[in-house]
Amino acid sequence: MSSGPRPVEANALSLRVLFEKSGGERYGLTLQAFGVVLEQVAVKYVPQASQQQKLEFWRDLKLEELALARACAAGHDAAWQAFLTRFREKLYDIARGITKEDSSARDLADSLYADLYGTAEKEGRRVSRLNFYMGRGSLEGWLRTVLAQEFVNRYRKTKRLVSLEEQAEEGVQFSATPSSQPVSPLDSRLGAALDEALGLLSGEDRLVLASYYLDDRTLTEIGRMVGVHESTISRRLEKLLKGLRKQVLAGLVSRGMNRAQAEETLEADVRYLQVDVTRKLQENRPAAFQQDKGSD
Amino acid sequence: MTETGETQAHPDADTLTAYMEHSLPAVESKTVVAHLAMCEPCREVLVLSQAVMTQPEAQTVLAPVPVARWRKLFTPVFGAAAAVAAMVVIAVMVLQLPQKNPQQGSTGATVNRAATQPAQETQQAKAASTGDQAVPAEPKAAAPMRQAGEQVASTRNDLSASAKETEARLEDSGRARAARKLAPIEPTSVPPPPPAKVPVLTAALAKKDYVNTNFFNPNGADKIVVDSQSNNLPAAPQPQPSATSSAFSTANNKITIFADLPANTAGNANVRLLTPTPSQEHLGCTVCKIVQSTAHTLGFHSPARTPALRAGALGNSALGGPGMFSGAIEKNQPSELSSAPAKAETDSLATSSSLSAGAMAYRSADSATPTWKIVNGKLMKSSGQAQWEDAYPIASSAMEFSFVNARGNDVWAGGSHASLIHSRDGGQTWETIKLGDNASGTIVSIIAGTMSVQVKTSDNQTWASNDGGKSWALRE
Repeated sequence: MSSGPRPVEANALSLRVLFEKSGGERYGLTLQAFGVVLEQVAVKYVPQASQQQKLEFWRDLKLEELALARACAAGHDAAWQAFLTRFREKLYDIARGITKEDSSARDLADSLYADLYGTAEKEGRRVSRLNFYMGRGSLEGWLRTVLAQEFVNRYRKTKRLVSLEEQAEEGVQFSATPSSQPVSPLDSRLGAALDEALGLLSGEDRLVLASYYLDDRTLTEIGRMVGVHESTISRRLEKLLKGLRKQVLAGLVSRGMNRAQAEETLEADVRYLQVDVTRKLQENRPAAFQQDKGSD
Repeated sequence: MTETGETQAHPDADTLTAYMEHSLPAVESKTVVAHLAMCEPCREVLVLSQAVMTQPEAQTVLAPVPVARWRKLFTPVFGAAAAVAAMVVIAVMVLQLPQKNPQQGSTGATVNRAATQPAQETQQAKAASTGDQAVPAEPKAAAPMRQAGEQVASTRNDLSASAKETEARLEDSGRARAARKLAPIEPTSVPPPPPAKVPVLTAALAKKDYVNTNFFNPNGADKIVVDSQSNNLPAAPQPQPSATSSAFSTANNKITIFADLPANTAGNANVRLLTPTPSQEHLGCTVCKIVQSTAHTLGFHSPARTPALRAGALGNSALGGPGMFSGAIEKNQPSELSSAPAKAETDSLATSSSLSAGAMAYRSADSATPTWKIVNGKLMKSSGQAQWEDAYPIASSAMEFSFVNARGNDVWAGGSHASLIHSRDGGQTWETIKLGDNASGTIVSIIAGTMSVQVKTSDNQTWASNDGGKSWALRE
């Protein structure tokens, strides 16, 4: 099945039903082309699935928007008319919401629109970014995400070009030259205990901690990310800190400290500590944020 | 895309979108969360895209929830407004209650003032009306009228002088002579001629006559009694024996009395025609109501408020009733009742056959209303010109009058032996009314209406007639 896209042979009836549900015919899409698209999606996300599992997976897709996006990528005028009608202005609105500024928003939206239309050519064929839409989420949500990714990439590119003076003005402090002094046993035990405690946290708890303490996100933003109310995030943060303290104390005790020493260690000024919580929290961080452009 | 241990690839846009829309399977969502915990750029992308996504959601949340209409009343604004309104009401009540009586008093005073003001104005108008111009169509006659009115109102000598003057004018009037020719039956019964330039009797006056002050006050206490010292006028017409059964002639459809209306020598609309006595259906008309109310407002029945007489009015009727010719009354008249030229009216009335004889009689009766009284068993009539004369000077009559009831020119007089006489023309002609055969006693009371007459005698007999005195019935 992972041998590449090919027309769906089995369950032709079900496929026809999915095609009718997508309304791809009015966008100029054929049943065969739609079957190829569905097979692409299945290969990417459920490569090991059976035909029945694929059918269930396809039913959960946004079939109508998938057909629209792929028809646009194939260059059908009817599909482009529908796409422009539905998303042209919305694209600018989304970009404006991201950049908070009109001109850069228009620049961002126009560059994405060019990518969606497919200005680049590959092997003599126009390559549209809409070919990477797989229909797992809504097309509008996908456009938002793509715009946000494009914005973050641009920001990171420009951030690399910021002068040192500007960074100093922004309060960025540079770490001192790594000390040649050996790490104290206290710090090593504390770091080990902290790593252990953080390692016991769930992914969501680590996400909440990282968003709150590293990204300085608000409780509302974190709540939206996790999908819970902000008050729940607040309580969870409090609970997380208590649990972490308890876990670190236990780790310190397990590493040869008595209770009093462990508490004294935790009350030490963090400026004297050489524990890099950020590194611990964001371990195995990806080196670069590269888009899935051309990943298939 | 899968996250497997050390492999930390970013989730693609589809996966992130599906995670944000909560459409990812639980296992896959957990993988994405684990990646997000470690990947700050992905967290940033998630926050940026979610911030955009939540905008419409926030708007949806902020959209007003439909609230029942009655619940809208219980808003704080409504409560505050209600409290303010209640305070205002209480304040008004507190402020108003102590001042209620004084305010009522003041209001009453205002009303009284308002009520008395028109009365004062009426009095002023009444006083001024003797010299005022009543009808705008007669500007030229204003000055003579004013002068004549003042003269008449001031002294009785002026009154008689004015009457003589008008009489002299009438003598000179060829129109009057022509009118006299039209009166074949009673050439000598020339009605008192009015001065040519004076507007006089009005509907209010006619109504006043209809009320008949004598009816309510048989003694005639509120009448102006003018002594007969300056009696320079011709004697009152003598009753015509031949006319005892007929007060007026309707031969040739000509009413004698109307034919004798004075000439309109000035040619202006100075002479007014009397409004006929209202018939039963006429009583309810608006004009009559206004006139009646005006008459009551002016207080004609009060002797103390007797207004001055106008020379013109007196001249027109040749007889003066108390308060009957006030300019104020005339002023209050509707113009359609008082603006008709006398000449045309006279002619039309004299030749018209459409008017009933009764109506004619009322018109003529209203034109000259004498005053009656009983003196020493004699029936005396005053024409308002400071003279009294024997109204029933029939030598053969040995009647001793005891009671007289005059309603305009409709005069009933009774005396001893249940004798009763009736005149329809103000005493010019009389007819002897015979009550029942068993009538006895002296007549002590006569109550006369339009057609119904009731007579009481000293023997406690009550005779009643419903046909103007033709037939009588004894009532117990």
